[in-house]
Amino acid sequence: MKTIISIFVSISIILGQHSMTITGKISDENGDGLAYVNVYFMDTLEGAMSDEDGVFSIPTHTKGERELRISHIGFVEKNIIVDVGNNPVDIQIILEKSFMEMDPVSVSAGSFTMADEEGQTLTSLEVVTTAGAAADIFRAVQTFPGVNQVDEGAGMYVRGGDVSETTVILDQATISHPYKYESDTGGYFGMIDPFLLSGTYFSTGGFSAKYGNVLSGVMAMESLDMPSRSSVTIGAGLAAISAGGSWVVKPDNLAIQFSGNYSNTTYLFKLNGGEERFEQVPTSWDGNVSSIWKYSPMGQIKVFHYSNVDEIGVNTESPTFKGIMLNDNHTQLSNIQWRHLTQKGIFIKSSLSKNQFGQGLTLGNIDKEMDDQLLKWRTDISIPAANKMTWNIGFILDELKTGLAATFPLDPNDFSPDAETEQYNVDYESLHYGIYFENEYQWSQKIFMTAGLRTDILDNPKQQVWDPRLSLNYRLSDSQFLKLATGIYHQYPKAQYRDEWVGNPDLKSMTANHYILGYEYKSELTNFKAEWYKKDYSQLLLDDEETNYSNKGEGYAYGADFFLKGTLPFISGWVSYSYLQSERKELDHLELVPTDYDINHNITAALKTQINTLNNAGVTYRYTTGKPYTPALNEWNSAILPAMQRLDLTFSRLVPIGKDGLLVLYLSVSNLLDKTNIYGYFYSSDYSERTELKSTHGRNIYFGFNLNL
Amino acid sequence: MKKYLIILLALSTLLIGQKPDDFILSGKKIIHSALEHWNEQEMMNARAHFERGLHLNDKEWLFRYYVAYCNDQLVHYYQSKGDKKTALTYLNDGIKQLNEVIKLNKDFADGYGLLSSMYGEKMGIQPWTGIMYGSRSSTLIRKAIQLEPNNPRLYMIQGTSAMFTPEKWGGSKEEAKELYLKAAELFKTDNPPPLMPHYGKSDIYAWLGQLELKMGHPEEAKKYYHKALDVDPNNNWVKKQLLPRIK
Repeated sequence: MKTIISIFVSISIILGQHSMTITGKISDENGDGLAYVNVYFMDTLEGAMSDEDGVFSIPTHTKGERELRISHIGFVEKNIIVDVGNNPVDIQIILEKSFMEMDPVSVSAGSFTMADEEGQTLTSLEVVTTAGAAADIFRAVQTFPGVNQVDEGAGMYVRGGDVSETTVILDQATISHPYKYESDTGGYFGMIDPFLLSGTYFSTGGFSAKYGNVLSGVMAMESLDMPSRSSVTIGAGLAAISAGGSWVVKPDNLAIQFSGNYSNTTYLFKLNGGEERFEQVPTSWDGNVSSIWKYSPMGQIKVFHYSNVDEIGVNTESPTFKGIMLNDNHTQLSNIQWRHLTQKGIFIKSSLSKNQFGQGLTLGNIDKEMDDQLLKWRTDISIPAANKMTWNIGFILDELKTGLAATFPLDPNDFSPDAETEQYNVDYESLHYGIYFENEYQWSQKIFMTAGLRTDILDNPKQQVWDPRLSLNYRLSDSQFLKLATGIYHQYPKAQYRDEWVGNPDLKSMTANHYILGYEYKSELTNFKAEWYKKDYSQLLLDDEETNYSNKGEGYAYGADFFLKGTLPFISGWVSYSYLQSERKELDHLELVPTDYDINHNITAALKTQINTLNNAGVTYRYTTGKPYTPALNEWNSAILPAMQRLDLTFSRLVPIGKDGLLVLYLSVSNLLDKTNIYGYFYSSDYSERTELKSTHGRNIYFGFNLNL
Repeated sequence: MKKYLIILLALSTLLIGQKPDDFILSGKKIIHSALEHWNEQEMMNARAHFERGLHLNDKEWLFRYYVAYCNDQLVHYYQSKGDKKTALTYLNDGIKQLNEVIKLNKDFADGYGLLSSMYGEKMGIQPWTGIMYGSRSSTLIRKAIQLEPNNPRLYMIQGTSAMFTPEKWGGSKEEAKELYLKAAELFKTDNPPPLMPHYGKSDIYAWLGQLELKMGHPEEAKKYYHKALDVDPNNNWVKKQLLPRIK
């Protein structure tokens, strides 16, 4: 009997509790009832769906202040607190139409992102199928606006700045010399294979505090994550052979990846002509090995090592010298990176890296030996501070050692053996510390802001700089954005300018202020970006009779960049146009004159078509107005080289092999129009004679295959 | 007395809340019923049910998968009504959910499979997106089959892709048939754990029927439709839509 009484007591309690009901109506912004809206308590699984008129009713048993979530596709999710008591609760809710989720990276001013995910500007496949890019991510990026192609190389010349003004980062490690066949104007190829990368962020200005301190641009790359299966890749082409593989030692726990390339261009020049221009055709070896250990689902350690050796000997003719330019480079990059995501959502990345670069160069009376070593420790922490707010904090400590032994002519145009020369011996060491903090905050559905501050301290010479940065994104509609970015950017002068004998040890950092206003339209199949920018430079280096160099240089750059990427039936691709005006008073240019890379108009169209699922074709056309050159003594950059044109074609065929294997056959024709472009002149000392510095390749054909098993 | 105990038990279930596993099972029942009645509201209800469970962290991937599965069914529903715009809304949301699913559980073959299928549907509604999603869809289904080579639903998805892809783009009705027959064979022994997806046992014959119809064999098609009804007499897709079309 006692049991039955207690059961009835329980039933009455339960029935009593069930008398609590939450009712309400959900409407859109026009007051119309919304059907099929999901309304539910977050602490239990109790909930209901609204009817045709937007009315809902949830019976519940738990009293107190409780969180209720209201969710419907196409509308902004809402969470409200409801006080569930003995009295019925009736609530009225208005849902706002939602826009696509705001991604701070993909919509920030001046930036492009590359990965195999939707919403990215460029996928890895697009990098390797872009005609003329030679499967090189740097060359593919040169088809974007804001990047000028000043010669046939892969150098990143961003908005009037030279290659040293764009920093290249891989898994937090700085690659101070990211090119193969490196020269003062960049290099012929980028050193990182696009197949080694999982994602890349590229910015032509206005980048946030965490990306560091340079005057113009940033290219931040992330290497591949854990492979899902073991595989082997081999490839061969007219000028290169390569092999690589992934070994999954334990799925989702431990994997090793490696690849190596040997490149020799003998047969490329035999087939296409131009062999006579080289004493030593371009030849290189490179290899890399990496290992990923996932010690838990939340953390991993990645070790990466890369090594490259290359050499080239070019027959060179100038009014003062006829002979060979010999250049050999070796690069090593080692990096160990730890990543961990805590239960509270704090994401920590820390890396210790060492980048070594050595170069030997001889040209007439120029004889240069350089060794560069950068040891770096970097930690980045991302903290979800509050709803829609993330804090990014980072610390950088690096040590730079540069050794330079060189002989240069006093007259920069005279390479003859009997010309007067100057001996440089630079041995420079410095420590650099950097700290940044930035706050990413979504004010509302329409406004996203990133505000940051970084400070960098250099011990030799002692100095500290502070750089505030701000970017705002305003959503005009679900596919249109307005973007604004501004900030102060500093860059230390290169080691040789800071040497106590041939440079000036008291030189301060050079400064640039960026101002960017952008508009972006982004839909599933179309991406249009337009940006207007202005950069003011101060404290640039200027030749100085007393101190070798001073910080009295200055300059500016302004312009506009346009980018349209789209997909139509059977054809996809992008078109970019850049307008640039830039002047600087810098180094031996003692007045404000156009910069060496002041290319006013630059148009590129990179189009691809899928003939069918297995056959693809691509075409890239580029037209750029000429860059300035100096035609007479002290008439710095007062003349303009002829415009440059280039048309490249590529064709690839995919052949599936077995279940997972794939054979890719490719054929490319570069410089189809066989245009000889002039990239500069060698002048005699009195500027009375000159010879042309022309493009190395006329029309040329390349073919090969890649097999992945 | 017994009656009171049943009431007590039922109410207690509500009172203490269902465990996630029970919650998934009850959601699957709602899906089943919605499919039987081919009913928009019921399918919305099933979707809402799974959405409520998303914040149960340990099985978020599975809840998200079922939200996407309901979306997929709603896509079919709206397409049959000629409402492409709403179909695309649910399709895009389903693709977003499934991209999360495969991030949360990298070994979940059905997740990759359904994502591949939804990309295929997207290409069906917007053919010009083929250049973007074609290779992604085939990579996903290959990855799924690599994870679970005996999962019949994956061959069914692959077969459907082969059937709808034009021949010049690599499609083949013969290959589709081969894949469907392989799926049908595997379905005979398919017995996934109760919480996991188990759809397709009867639908595979519906697909075979549609393929035969496309190949110009209405009698064969009819046989397969009847076979589908032998496996599940309540398969309303076959009963109310496919069969009447050839009668």
